[in-house]
Amino acid sequence: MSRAFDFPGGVYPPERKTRSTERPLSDTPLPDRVVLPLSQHSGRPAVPCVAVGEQVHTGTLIAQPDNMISSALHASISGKVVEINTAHIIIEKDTGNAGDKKDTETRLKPLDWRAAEPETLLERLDTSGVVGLGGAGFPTQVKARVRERHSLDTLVVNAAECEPYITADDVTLRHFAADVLEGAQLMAKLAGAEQILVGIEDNKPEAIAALEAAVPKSLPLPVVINVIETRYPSGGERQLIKKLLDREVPSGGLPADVGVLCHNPGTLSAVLHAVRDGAPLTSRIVTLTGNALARPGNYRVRLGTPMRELLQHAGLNAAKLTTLIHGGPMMGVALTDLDTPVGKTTNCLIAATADELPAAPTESPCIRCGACEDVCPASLLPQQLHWYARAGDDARLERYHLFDCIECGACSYVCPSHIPLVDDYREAKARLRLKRIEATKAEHAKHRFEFRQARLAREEAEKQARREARLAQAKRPSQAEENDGASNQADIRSLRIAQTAAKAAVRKAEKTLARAAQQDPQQDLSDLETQLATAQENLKAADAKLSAARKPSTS
Amino acid sequence: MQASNTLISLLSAIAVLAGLGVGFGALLGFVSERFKVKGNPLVEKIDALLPQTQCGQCGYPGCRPYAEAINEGDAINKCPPGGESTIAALADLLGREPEPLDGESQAEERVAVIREDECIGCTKCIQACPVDAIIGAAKQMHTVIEDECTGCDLCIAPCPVDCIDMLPRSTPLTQWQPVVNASTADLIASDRAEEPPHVARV
Repeated sequence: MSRAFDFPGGVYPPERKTRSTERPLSDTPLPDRVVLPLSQHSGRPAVPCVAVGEQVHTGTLIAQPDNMISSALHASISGKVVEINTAHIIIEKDTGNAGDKKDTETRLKPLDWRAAEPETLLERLDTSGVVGLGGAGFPTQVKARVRERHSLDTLVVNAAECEPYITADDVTLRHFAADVLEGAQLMAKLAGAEQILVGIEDNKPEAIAALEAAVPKSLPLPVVINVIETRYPSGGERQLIKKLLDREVPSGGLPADVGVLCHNPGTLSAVLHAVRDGAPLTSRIVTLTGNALARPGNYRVRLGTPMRELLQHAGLNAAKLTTLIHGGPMMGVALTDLDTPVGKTTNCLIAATADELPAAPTESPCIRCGACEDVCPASLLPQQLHWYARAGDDARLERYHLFDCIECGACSYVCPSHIPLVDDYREAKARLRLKRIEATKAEHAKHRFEFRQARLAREEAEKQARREARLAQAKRPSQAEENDGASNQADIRSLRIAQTAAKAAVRKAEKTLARAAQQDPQQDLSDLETQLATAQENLKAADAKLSAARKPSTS
Repeated sequence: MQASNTLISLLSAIAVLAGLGVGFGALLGFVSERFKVKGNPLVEKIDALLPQTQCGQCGYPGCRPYAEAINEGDAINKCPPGGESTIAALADLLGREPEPLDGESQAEERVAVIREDECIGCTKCIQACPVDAIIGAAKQMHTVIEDECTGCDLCIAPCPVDCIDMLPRSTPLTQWQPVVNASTADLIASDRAEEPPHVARV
């Protein structure tokens, strides 16, 4: 397929990629001390499963995934665990006599992915801590399971790598194209896809050549390489799918909704290593670049290595360094601490000088020029979002689809008033997310309160029923009850209506719970369960009241 | 002949109109039964805006009773946990003037914590908790389930040994909010700070 479609918007920032591709891929020296954050992926943080003082090897499991969307964490050097807290685990290389010992590695049993059961492969991905290495860090194992709810036909290898400076995927493909394609075949088998599409920008000729050489050996699914024009942000998942397949991922949806699964080349090679070699994710390829470095290039780095060590290895000129950026210049974050450890999603570090990435000029008011709308790849209205974000108008932000913003930074890049638009959006998104969390919390508290009220009412009704039964027992020998039979009848009728209503409420709650459980078995059903329990308590209270009212009249 | 014709057309017109009346009456009656709205939808909307701490600081036993009272015409400024934002939202919904908060607003979210070695196991706090967030049994130590606690203070007063503290709630990193610098776009050049505040320096 040579045909390419198009996505709206996009910009052409200076690429500055050649600086880091001139040097061949090499390993950085082993760090003496690694800091491994427990949350290097999206979802819940991992839970430590080692103790302070424990001896670990490279590849030893040190933290287990917590719940469904989470990922395991492994030691990236061999040594001793020296600190564990809620945020990270620190491992130090042995000192003294044992310090000269070579790095020892523990591996899992190699698997043949062509023969292995899908469940075994998924479990292997789970225990190897593989997450998306492109930036978001979504646990790969969870992504591989989307087949359970969507039918997929295409696996897209996202090798576009559109952001300036970053060349980690480019270099991965130059060196390990065959591994990447084999990893893609593995993931395609798990996902039940029928074809593999590689989307790559035309500014990576060496990687394209390596891929073309590897394609004939890649079996069993057909692999198509689709070379696309270099334009930022063609590496965005939605943009690439639109470009390659002309399918539009719905707002708030996933690529799986249109039958596509996207993976980054680095992730695919990590998947293959985890399965074929049994090697958990303990290192990754990081682009170290920027004018403050004497030896920019791509390096294989152990996770948890302090950035200062890496930059010094690459020849850091500390006097010239003004900004250190984690990620690319468009979407990355400026770091304030050089001792930050490298994580699973660190694909690039830019040690920039003042001339290279100058500080943003002072912001001016929006002049409504509309340049941001022309470049928005998600077809949003950036200036409207800007006004509403600054005004805190949350209802309008949602109506203008703030959450479809991919934070690519194209709007900030072209803004003639130098407004940090993406900062506004990120802040508004964080605020809206917090608001949603608070709303669900309030809802939860309300259900618990209602349940308690219902329980108290039921206990009260039961107590009343017992008291009346006792009274009736005591009275029976003396006289039959002749008092106000008519009003008693009316009471019973209204109680019976209440009982029927309570029964209907229980049935409705049961149905809602069953439907929700069927739609998504993984979601949190505790609120619906509380609602059902509340309805059941109400029914019991109604039963008790009814039987209490009936007893005196029948006796 | 003509008179009987007029009579027939007169009668038929009356019959048709009466028939239509009966037909639409039945339809309206059916629809009003079929799509009956139970309860007052405005109370639901007011209740949804309240923070559901069930703390009773408004003088009503829970958020729902206060929502009903607001619907009856009570003041909208009696909810300290909700603060100014809740008052503004209520004023917006009900078309009333926002009033200043009656009472002191809470600066931060809090959670009840029982000093467990001092607890005598009297179960009084368990009975007071509106959301069943305290577990324990008679003569056994009690403890608060942090995630379920709404920070309402209702367990403090009944405790005979004063072993319950209200501590600031720890927020997870995922709920971190960026520190927003005021925009300098509207300032004239001489009022601006030397350096734009959002540039991070190493």
